[in-house]
Amino acid sequence: MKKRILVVDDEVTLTRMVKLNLERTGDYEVRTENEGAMAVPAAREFKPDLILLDVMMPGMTGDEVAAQLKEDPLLADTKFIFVTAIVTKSETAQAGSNIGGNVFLAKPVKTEELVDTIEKVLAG
Amino acid sequence: MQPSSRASFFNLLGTLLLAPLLCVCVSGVQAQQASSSVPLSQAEKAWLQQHSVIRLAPDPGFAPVEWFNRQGDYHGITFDYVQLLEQRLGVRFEIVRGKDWSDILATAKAGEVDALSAIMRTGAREQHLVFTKPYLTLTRGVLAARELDPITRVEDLRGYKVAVVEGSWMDEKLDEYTGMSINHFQDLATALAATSLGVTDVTASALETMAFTRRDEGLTNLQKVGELDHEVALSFAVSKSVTPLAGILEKGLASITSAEAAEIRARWIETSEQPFWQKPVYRYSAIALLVLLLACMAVVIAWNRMLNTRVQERSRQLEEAHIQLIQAEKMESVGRLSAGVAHEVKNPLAIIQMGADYLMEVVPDEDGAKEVVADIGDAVRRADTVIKGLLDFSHSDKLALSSGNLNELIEEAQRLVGHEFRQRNIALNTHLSPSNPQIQMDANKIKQVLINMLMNAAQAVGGDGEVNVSCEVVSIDANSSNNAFQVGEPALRLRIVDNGPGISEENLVKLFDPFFTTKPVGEGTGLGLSVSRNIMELHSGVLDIGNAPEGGARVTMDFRIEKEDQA
Repeated sequence: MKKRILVVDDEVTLTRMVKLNLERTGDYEVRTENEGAMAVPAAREFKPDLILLDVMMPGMTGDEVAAQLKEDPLLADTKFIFVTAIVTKSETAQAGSNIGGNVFLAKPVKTEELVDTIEKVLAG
Repeated sequence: MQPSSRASFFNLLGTLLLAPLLCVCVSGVQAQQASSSVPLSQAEKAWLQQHSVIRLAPDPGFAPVEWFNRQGDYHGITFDYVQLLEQRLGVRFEIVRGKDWSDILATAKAGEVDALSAIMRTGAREQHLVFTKPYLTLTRGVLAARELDPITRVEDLRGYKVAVVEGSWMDEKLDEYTGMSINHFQDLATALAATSLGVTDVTASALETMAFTRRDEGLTNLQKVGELDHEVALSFAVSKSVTPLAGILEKGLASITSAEAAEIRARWIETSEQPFWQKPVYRYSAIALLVLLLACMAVVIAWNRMLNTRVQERSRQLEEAHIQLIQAEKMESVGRLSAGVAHEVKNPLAIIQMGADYLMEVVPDEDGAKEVVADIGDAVRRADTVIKGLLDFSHSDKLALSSGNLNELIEEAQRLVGHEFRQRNIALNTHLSPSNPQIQMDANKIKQVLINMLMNAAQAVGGDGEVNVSCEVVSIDANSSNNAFQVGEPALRLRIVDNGPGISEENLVKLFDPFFTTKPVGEGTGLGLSVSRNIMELHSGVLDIGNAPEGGARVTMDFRIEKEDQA
């Protein structure tokens, strides 16, 4: 059974590219959202196994989205991977402390690396 | 003034002061030696035998003709005559000191003294005294403290308050005129002082004696306003009771040659009114003033030079501070921009990366298509490296400090770059002092700096080169002092010296500019050195790059040593 991946990023082209590459592997069913606020209802409806979440988005940020979803009992098992354009220790520490124990990936990320990380997180 | 020049000045001054004195002494001796026998008659010789001591009363205040100085010694022209007369006549004069001139005249008239030594012959005096021929003539004149119409005759004094010495020839002369305002003083000094202070208008007396007293008393405001048409002819006078003495003195005076007389006169009287600038006191003062002026100038010049040096030093410091400020501003703006740029550039890079990944899967491997896609992926990685550099730059102001061993860090960095060095066949030699102290540092960031420097060195020497790394405690010397360290302060110094071509003067000044690089496009971001320097400055250390004296580039990293480790 294909794993469900929700990709949330304000960059429309990027979400389309990620969808293309992930679905091409044949292992994933991918849905994309380009606004933080839309991610919560989309997740409740789509019930993803894993959410790829951009940290810095206008409006609702990635950590706010994650915090809301974690409170939903139906989505308690959903895994997250945070994707950020600014990789520094201070940035990840800050986001990590808000959300706790989650995996971060730095843009630009290669498809191969992305798939490896998704598999690792889903397995863990 | 230097001690040597000061000494020579006093030598000169001493010589100038002593020279006239020596002249006086020498001429005095000559005068005494030029003695001649005086042809006295038998009667005169007999008289002298009976009168071996002659009481002589000089005028006590008639300088420079005769007077008693402050020590009570008899001095002056007449004294010199008296000395010659004693030698030549074989007599001894007993000096009787009177209170003042009037007193002396009175004693002489009363026959209480035998002789007076400097007296003007007048009809009144001849009633009591017998005079020799005059031996000294002086000029009558008038001094005043203000501008007056020229005075050439006694009549011209009418209308002025005239100061004279009581009982003097002038006093007697003025008595002959009616309507004169005459003020009597005991001595000449008091008379001149009265005129100097404006109590009297003029003082009338012999010009020579007035000039002498004026100088002696410092009455510099008195000036000659005229010469009177009368000379003062001074003679010896004897009491009528000792009349033969007049003839004896006459013969004694006649034995004194005109040359001797001129010498004596010159010794005590300035022959003409010397202009003030020719007077020795003025000359010595002028020399002293000149020397003082030169000394002041020397001090001013030295002071000026010192100030100039200070100004230059200060300007240099300001210039350095200005350059540092510009550099700091440059860094700050780069840091500010880099975070924003990184975010904006990373999203498109991510899209390109994903696009390339997709294409790599779908394009057929023909006409080098997959190679093109791989190139796109490489380009993304290069761009990403630049962005990472920018982010390091913007976040390099935060340190995670802990105590660490720099030697170990150097060895770790050496292992990390070892592959690169071996590939290029470059020898990497280390000389690390085992006693190096632990230092406070952010090990990751210092490692980043070390790798950066080592890789730069490897690229600089090219192939088959040599890079030497040393680390030891040094004492900061004047050449390497800077804002971070004082001269003499200890520092842990790490040096990386390569045997490459070194760095051109042109590039040296731009080394630490952000984005400045000499590497081929794609091999360097131009941020490494500015980030490295920033990291060293955050450690309160110094990163300096220059050329080694023996050639090749030389990196110097000075680290602060903790106080307890300095001992």
